[in-house]
Amino acid sequence: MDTIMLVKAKATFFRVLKVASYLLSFPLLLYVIYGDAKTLSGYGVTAASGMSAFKLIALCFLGVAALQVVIGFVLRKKDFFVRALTAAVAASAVVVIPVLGIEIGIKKDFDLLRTQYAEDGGYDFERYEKQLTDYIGLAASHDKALNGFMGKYNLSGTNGTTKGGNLDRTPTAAASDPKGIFLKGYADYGHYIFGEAVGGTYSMNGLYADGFIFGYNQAQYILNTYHNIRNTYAAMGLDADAALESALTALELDGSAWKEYQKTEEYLRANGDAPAVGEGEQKILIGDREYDVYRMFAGHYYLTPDEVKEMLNTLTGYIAGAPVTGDIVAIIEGLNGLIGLNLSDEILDILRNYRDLDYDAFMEILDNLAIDIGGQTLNEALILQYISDYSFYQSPTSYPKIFFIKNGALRDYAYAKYLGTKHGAFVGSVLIGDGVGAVTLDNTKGNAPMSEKELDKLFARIEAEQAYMSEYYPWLAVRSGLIKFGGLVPAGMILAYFFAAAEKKNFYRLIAKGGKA
Amino acid sequence: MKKTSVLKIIAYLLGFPVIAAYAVYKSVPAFTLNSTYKPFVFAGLFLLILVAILYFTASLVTGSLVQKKKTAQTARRCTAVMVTLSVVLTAGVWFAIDKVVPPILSNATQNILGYDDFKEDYDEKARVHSELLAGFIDMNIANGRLSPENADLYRLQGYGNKDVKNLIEQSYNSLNNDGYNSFNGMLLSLADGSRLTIPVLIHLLFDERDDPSTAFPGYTGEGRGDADKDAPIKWSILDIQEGTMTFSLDLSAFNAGNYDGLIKWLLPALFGEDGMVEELLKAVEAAVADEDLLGSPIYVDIDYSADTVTVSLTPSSASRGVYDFKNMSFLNSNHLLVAVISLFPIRNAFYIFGAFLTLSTLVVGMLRQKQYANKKGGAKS
Repeated sequence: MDTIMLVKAKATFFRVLKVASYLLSFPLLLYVIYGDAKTLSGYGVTAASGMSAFKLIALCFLGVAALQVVIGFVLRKKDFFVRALTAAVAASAVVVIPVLGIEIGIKKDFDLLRTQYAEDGGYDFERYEKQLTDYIGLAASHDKALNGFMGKYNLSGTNGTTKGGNLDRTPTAAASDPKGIFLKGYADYGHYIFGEAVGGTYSMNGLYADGFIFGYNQAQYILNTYHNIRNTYAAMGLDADAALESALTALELDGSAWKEYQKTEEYLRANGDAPAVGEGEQKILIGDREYDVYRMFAGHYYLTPDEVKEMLNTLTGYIAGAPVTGDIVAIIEGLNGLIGLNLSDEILDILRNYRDLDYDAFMEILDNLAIDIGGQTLNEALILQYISDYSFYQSPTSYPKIFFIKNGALRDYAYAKYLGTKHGAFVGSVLIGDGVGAVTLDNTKGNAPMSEKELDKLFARIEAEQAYMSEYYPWLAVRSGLIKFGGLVPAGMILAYFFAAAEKKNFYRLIAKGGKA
Repeated sequence: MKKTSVLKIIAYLLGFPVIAAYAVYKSVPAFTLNSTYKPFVFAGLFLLILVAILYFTASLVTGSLVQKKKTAQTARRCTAVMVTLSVVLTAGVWFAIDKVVPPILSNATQNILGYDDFKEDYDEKARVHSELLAGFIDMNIANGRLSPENADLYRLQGYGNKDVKNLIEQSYNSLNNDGYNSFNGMLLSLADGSRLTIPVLIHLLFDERDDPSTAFPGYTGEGRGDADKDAPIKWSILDIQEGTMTFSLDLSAFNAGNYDGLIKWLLPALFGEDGMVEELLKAVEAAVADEDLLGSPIYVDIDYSADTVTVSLTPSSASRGVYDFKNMSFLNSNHLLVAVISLFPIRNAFYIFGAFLTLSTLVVGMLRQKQYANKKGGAKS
């Protein structure tokens, strides 16, 4: 006869085993799947979907737990073995059915997609069997490639970000929800929005809002358009840039749509003469709000040649007035004729009269010096060109010149080039040129661009992988967990019932003894 | 009977007093560093006292109830109430504060500082924010906006001094209205988001802005006489951004054609000890300060060595007695920040020793039951 102590100990022993067995079934499995699902959620490509399949499986298992309660009640008169078997069968179904579903359904879809991409998309991705074991590594590699591209070109998210609207405070809208702000086109030129399909935040004239930073989708669209049209022209033995140049030259002819458009009120409001005093009060209704006409004048947002001249005059004035300037002039004069320095009498004259130094005199010196910067001569035209390049402002309230290019493909090319260079330079995401990404004072050269071939390969890969990774990988995580630990589920469950029965038996013995030895 | 009373006292001492002692001990650096921010620096202490009053009032009430009713049931119920209260007053109150304070903090710091920056690093934050005030006072004694005669008084009284307090507020308002808010918000957010491109910088420097209108008092630098010592200032973007901007130009690829030899020979000579470049730069600086250019001085420093020209541009904010906008808005909200900082030692004490309080409350409850309850269970009926 066992003592009470021993019976108690036995009951406890079986209780511990019961709990341990149960933990070996669903809890362990869910824990394993959760780990992989969590890892997937950490990668961009599977961030949104990473936990989805796990949640579904966890829900099924909760269903089984609920079923166990029902079984326990309905079959309470039956032997524990019947209950154990019923629960184990239900658990097995939850384990086996998803694996079979994944094995048959996903593999079929996947193989189809793979063939399709190999044929159309020109991208060959790893076989299903290879992906089964390496899906986490492949998701990580996808992320790395994507982030490398995003970082190089300094992009912001998938669909871009809008940091504030326009410099002139005019409204912006999405192409899908125009809020009545877009211009109405001109003559037989309908309103045009570049890259409408990929979205973004647009100004009234159909260009991106000043503060719009490209996301992956916009960058891909712009770069693809740019390279594809270049290639089309090249295939015909033509140069897209030359074609664009001549199209723009043609627009400068009298009577062209662009010339006529420049006479419209719409154009003149933003690009005409500076608003006179009092015009500042004027308001205009755009969409459903009133805007200040004064602020819409583009001239507020760039340096005009006159302003540059005035600034340089101020600067040269101060330099002319500084006592040290005389010393420097004296040194230069003294050196003339030595160390290869041969200044013309003209320059020497200007230098000697340094006290009259002003913008014009300064430019004259430059012309005479003929200083060469990277193949270009430093002169007034080049300086003004640099300044207008850096301080250019396209008014969001009037159409740009490139809007009036008749040839559709060439117009797309012009927009892609404009956005990839000028707009990109402003927001720190240059897409086209020798230096890309954030070209700033700290990084004047920008980053080295990717070649067209590299870009094509990357875009094809990203598109193909995004098509299946986000949808299938969460299931591959479930599958991997089920295959490794699925077998333990029915076994652990049956053991749990067995140990529960054993615990109960000892518990009854305890009661029967009435607490006496 | 007497032994129980002694035990009860010991239990009480191990509860709240331990928390309070730890909290006060941990608060000492913040108290000393920011002593001039009265009463803000004591915000945490006030909260501690408030919690203590609540706790001991509840303790007194339940204690007298147990003493009066003398039933085990009352004693147990009161113990349950006190234990719950101790949890609510420690962890509970701080859970609530952890929810309420972060938005206030982001607001006070223009979303620059978060709650997590303070949680464990409060001593360092107390030091930084005390130095912010000390530095401000020094800058403004140096440029005469605060009278040098009263220098010691200003340093001693700090934020408690009316002149200092007003000067912080006026300086911040000037920088905010005629600086930060006078720029297009989009340009500023690009600049802050590490997208300070050359076009953005040029827009920030040269785009038309509203004329300055907020008085910037007591400044007589840059040739301002007594008549215009309170005149508004048109702050430049360098005043708003953090300190000096430096960039380098690599001249090794630069070829000046026929004059290459001359220029490369001349540059080191000009940068030599005769200080010609420095003299010339003074003229450039004066030009920059002219209304036709920026209207706000930028100090240019050029360093030439090994074919590299390093140009650094320093705004006049420091000589005028202000920090960049970020630090200036910190300083302007310093009293609030100091109050927030003072909460953290208390918060940590409550989180760490909260369990002590619960335990000691339970022990006190059990001792009370033993001491007063002579009837077992049931109602008194």
